[in-house]
Parts: sequence; C-alpha cells; structure tokens
Amino acid sequence: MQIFDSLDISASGLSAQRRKLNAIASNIANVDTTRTDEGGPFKRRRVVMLEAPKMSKFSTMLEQHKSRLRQTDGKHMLEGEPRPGDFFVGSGVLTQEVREEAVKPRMVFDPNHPDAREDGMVLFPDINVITEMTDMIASSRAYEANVTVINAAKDMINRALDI
Amino acid sequence: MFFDKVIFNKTKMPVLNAVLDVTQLRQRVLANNIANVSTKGYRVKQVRFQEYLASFVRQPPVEGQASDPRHITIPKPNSNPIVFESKSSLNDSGLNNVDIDQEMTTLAENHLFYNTAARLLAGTFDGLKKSISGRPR
Repeated sequence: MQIFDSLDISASGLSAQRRKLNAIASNIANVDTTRTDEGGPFKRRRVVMLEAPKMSKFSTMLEQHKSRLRQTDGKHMLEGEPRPGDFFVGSGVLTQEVREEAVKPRMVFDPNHPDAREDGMVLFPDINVITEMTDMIASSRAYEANVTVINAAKDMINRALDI
Repeated sequence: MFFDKVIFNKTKMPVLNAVLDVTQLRQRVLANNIANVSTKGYRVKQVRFQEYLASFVRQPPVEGQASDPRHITIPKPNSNPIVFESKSSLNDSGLNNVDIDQEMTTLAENHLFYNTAARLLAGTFDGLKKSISGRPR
C-alpha cells in the first residue's frame, strides 16, 4: 500500500545504517587481530550503499504487468487517472559488504609474537580507530534521521485516520 | 458522480485531497533521499507540485462538456506533480548531493502541511455533517 511505502523506505535506511555500524564495531573490535581463517591480519570490513533498483517489490512488478484499458470511443469508461500517490519515487537503499585489502598494514617489530615473520615484524590490520569513530558518528546520525522520518510518517498516517 | 458534483466539489475537499496526495508523495521522496544519505552517486529527488495545487484553487470561468471524443476538455486536465532529480552539486562528503539539513527541514514542513490539510478536511466533513443534520450535535 502506498501509504506504508514511506515506512519501508526508511526501514531500508535503518537496516543499512545498522549494518554499517555492525561493520564498524567489528573493525574496532579486531583492531589487533593478527590471525584469521583466511590467513594474514584481519581485513577491514566496509559497507557500501547503493540506491535500491526499481523492481525490488512485488507491488511494483504487479503494477507493471497489469493490463491497461484503452478508450477508443467517447462512451467508454475511463480507467482511473493516475493519482500523485502512484508515482514511483524509489525504494530506499541497499548495502553491500566489501573486505578491503590492507593497503599499508601496520608493522610492529616483535620477534616473540607467535605471528611474527622471519624478520621479526608482525602485521596488524590497517584500521584507523579515529576513522572508524567518525564513521560511527556519521552513521548513527543518519540512523537518527531515518527514525525522524519514520515518526513523521507514523504521525501522518494517524492523522489521516482522524479525518 | 452526482454527489461529487453537488456537494463535495463545492467545498474545500478537492484541494485538500490534492494537498494530502502531494504531501504523501513528497514524504516518500524525502524518505528515499534521507535513506540514501550515504549512497555514493545518489541524486536528490524533488517534487514540483505548485502548478498541480494551483489548478485546484483557480476555478476556471467556464466548464466545457465533452460529449464527443474529439472535444477538447475545458478546463485543461490538471498537470500532475512532477518528480525530478536535483542538479545541485555534490555536498561536502563528496558522495552525493543530499543536503541533510535541507531534507530534514522540508520533512518537518511537509509533516505540518499534511497535518494542517488533514485537520481542515476533518473540519469540512464536520461542517457538512452539521448542515445535513440541521442542528448542532
């Protein structure tokens, strides 16, 4: 239903920002991880966002496949005019998770470390805690913005019920 | 429809209906812009609705009746609201052109606009009810 589309869109924004926050939490937690299943130090997790494509919902697909009526005679009934609410405006946001290859792993000289190389250097993940923290703030603000939109939409729906 | 013509179209209802439609559409556009606040390459969408609403307020001096399919309808059919992508330049993040302050302000404005129209519509219905029953409830 059109009236709840706004909630769906904002929900996709919420889950995208939450996924980003999860990735940031994992990056900060693994800032000193030198050993992973695939070998080598932990690789930074990064969430990239992309605009959701048009055909991601059943209702939009159904709308596309609806047969249309044609008016060839003045006495024919008109199929309802498209209402402003029928416009497609987008269906929110999608996320993809990318594992970043370490560009410049942090190297620490510690020959006694169990993961030290032959030359005594230990490779640590290329994670900058300050970058992660600022990303976290940006992400949680974006989350709040989406919550504000949801509250506005809820209030509008309630107001419509009072008519 | 008969009732539409004699009762509802004489009140503020058509224009309030249009306001609700437009603000509902704008709410979805704003929700989409805000959800995509950190999407790389996203272009902000905006709604142009002034002409659409104006067509409800300015009553045409004459109303034509189309009795033949070749007739031109008078007044002109309403120009629907248009959703378009803003051409503004990238914001400071360099990811897209979503101006979050602008979007949140428009959202608040849109919200109030919707609530106003909804309340006026409820009042219109109340007035109609009173005039039909003929006595204060």
